[in-house]
Amino acid sequence: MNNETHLDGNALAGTFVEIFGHDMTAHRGRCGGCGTIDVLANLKVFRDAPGVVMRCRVQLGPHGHRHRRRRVPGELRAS
Amino acid sequence: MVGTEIRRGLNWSLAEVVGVEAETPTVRSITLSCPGWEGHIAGQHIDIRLTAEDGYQAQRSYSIATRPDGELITISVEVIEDGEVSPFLVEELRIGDRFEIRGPIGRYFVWEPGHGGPLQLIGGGSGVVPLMAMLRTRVAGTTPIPVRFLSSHRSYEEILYRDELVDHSDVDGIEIVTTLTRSHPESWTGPTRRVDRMMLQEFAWGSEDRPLCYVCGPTGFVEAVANTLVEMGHPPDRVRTERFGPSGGRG
Repeated sequence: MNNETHLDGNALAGTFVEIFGHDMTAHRGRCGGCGTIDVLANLKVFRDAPGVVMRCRVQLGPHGHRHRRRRVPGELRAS
Repeated sequence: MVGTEIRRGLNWSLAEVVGVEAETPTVRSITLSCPGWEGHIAGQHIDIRLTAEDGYQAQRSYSIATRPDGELITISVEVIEDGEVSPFLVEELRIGDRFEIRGPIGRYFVWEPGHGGPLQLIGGGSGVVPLMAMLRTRVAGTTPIPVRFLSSHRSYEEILYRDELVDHSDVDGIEIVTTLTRSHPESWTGPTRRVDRMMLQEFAWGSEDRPLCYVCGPTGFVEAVANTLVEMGHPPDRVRTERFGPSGGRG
């Protein structure tokens, strides 16, 4: 995926209000894939995919190499 | 207060266009009257929804450019080539037209004087819109928080809010710098490079000043600037970002 074409979690703020009843962009979540903790505003958001895809921002594997991450976003646990 | 915020954020309401103003050849500011508007914080945005005669709907998000002003809010829309919504908003929309909006939305990319400073605002193209709301809030407020406003545009004609920024640069504690990256007039004495590490070292607060940084604009711009700020020692949680996608928007 072209890194230039994604948005971030701020673009989903209105959708978060629709679904959760309040804006979640300032909430921190933990990526179920790599353990990174960050605010939902910093998620990579792809709106051109079927539906909306949200991915963790971290792309580097443990040895510093880029590796293909799962297209399904990691399970987020809000803290 | 929180309950009220949730209800307003969820509901679509009808706003009326009460003012339109060409800011640059490609950007128009649209002032809306929003009945029941209960105020907003600089950095927040509205979602708008346009419905065609055949029922087709298009939804977009636009940052609010102004500080709270009763029921009036202003958005500044950049026309995107081959865009679906922006050409209509910038070239056809007229005073008296109405469309649905919901908001204000956003709790992360927001600033109010209580957040403190010093404030570092860095915008690329239309990314300066939410930053302008922050700057306007600071100028109108009573707390003398120092601000450095750094914007990047392709050409002189595309400098958004150009005249107003000149006025703000006269205010004590406010520094405005604009860099022109594609073309500039012969008489231009300002910078002409992209917002890279050298630019930030010269014009931005250093990490030792512990500024609150807000970076907004095209995704590539935001990622490059935010990463550089963190490399320069700014704590990631003091660098807030909002990405507008390629060339500043979705169209």
